[in-house]
Amino acid sequence: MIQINYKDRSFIIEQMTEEDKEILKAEKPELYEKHFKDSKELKNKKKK
Amino acid sequence: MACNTFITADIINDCTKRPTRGIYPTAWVMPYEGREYALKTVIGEDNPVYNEIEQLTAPALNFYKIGAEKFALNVGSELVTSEVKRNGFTHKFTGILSQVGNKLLDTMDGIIVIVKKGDKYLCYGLQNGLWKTAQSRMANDNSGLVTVEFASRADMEEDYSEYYFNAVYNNYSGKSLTAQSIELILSIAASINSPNWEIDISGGTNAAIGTWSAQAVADKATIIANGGSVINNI
Repeated sequence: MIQINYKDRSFIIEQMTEEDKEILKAEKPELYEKHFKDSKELKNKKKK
Repeated sequence: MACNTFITADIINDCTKRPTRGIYPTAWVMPYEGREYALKTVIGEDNPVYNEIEQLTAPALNFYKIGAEKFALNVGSELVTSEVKRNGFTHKFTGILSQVGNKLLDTMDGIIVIVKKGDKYLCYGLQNGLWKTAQSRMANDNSGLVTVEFASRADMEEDYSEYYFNAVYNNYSGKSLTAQSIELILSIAASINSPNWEIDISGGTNAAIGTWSAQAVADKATIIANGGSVINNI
């Protein structure tokens, strides 16, 4: 599993809730994109 | 065409810190064979004195530590002049060790060494490696300690007298860093108080935090306290 730490935040990627993801997206958009954007795009591609 | 030996920038005398002798009694050693470093010469930038290493293209980076006491480790370089090629430098690393188990030290050869001097990390043998030139232990001499010496081979000199090792490259995602390598990277980052560190040592077979040393865990906390971020395997 992958852990992200910054300031007082500590997230485990595989266990993040939607709320956690929103926080990450707002505070560290580059990290959010790195860990979540690709998987969303992949899912969308699969749907097509 | 002759190699360029012109001076291209000021040579600056660093008056900000009082010069002192010695290095920290820990050296990080990696095998010369298989290294995938490129040199990036930095003149007139943040570190005008040293030549910076542009980091890691290798999928694995395996450093091992040599620990010693006080002033038992020593490093340096010496000019080698030439009439037929550009001048070079012989690099040298010596240690006096109270070493348990000789096997690794006896067989180890062809290394790259990183040491910490003040707040800088210096690298020796980067281009052509350091090779064992002496090793001895006499029971009645020097408290029975092992003395070992590694140096550049003849005609295998280095271009520069020393290299400045920098962890500016932060993305080690998907690689296979050992706990020792992670400790070195975090140690460098923690020693430079900056909110800009974003170190990614997740994925791949990078060592999980549960296998790190207490110092590495503490350095991670320091980086985060300074405003940076760390992404790692658990």
